[in-house]
Amino acid sequence: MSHPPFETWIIQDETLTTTQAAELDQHLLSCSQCRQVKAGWQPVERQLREADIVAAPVNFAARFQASLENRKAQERRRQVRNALWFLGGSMILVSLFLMIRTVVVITPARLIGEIIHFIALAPQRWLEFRYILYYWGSQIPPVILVVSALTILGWTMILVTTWLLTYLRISNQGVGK
Amino acid sequence: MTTSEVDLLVAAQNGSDDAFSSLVMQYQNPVYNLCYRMLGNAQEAEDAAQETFWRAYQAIRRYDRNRPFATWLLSIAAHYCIDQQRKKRITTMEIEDWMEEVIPDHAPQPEKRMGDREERMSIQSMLSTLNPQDRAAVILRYWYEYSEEEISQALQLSISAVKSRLHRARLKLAQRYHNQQVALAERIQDESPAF
Repeated sequence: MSHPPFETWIIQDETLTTTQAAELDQHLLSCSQCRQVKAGWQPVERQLREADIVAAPVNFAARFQASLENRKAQERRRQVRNALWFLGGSMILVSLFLMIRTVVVITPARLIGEIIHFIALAPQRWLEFRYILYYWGSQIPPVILVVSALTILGWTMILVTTWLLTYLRISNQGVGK
Repeated sequence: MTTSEVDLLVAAQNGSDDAFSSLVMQYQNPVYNLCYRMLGNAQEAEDAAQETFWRAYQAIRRYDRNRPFATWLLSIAAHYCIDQQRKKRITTMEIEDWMEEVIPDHAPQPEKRMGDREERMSIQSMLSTLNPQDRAAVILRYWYEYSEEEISQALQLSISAVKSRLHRARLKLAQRYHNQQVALAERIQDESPAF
């Protein structure tokens, strides 16, 4: 059986008003259950209020400092592993999707025919491709060819450098930093 | 928060490990105490406190400086300990571990040390009867003198939920203490010689 509000008044932190205190005293005279709550709560509350803060063990902070580099290295490995799993998983899923789509859309006989056809025409297409290259190469002025080559080389260097710097940053700080 | 603490937090958020280490030094005792009171075992408390600081280190950039740092840190510790308790389903404390524990930093006189240990055991024994979230609320209320609002922020509960948890926990502690006293009185009575 619970006895609100008396039970609450006994165990709450707030100080009771004079009227509430008088009502509680009156109630306690006739209610053994609330007397038990009061007798139990007072020593418990005293112990809780007097309990000390347990100090951290000696060298706690030094141990944290020592483990920090190890934890950071583990976290970086975990992030790289997750990224690889994500990349690999995505490639497998895309490959599976394309394979299933191919099998559904094209019959096996037609697929084999297409492959044989592609292989048979490959030498002829290579010759056509070389002819196009030679033809356009002879038409374009040499200056433009040099500028194009330098542009492609420049962009390649910028992209590779950016990729390397990003890789180094992620390796040192992790993805979240 | 003091100016130096704000400076440390800003530096830690900008990636300074030294600044974060200073914060660890500053907050190691409150965090360890919370973990110890929650888990009741010195080794588990140290592991939990170390994990708390590691989680804080990882999340320090997301910390909102308008919020008290201590509340944010203790919130991480409390949630970690609550999760640990749920995983392990601890219902009783490991008394042997308490007996083997070393009281850190200072070595008081044997009588006082025994008294401290007994008192600590008694408090831990009482706390162990509470469920993890009620225990966290009681610890934050009595060891850190947090208001109900601060407890609600730390434990991510509504204020009414905190009130109800504190009420339930206090009642349970009072009943347990009363029952212990009754049992003790009966035992003394049984052991006394009959003439």
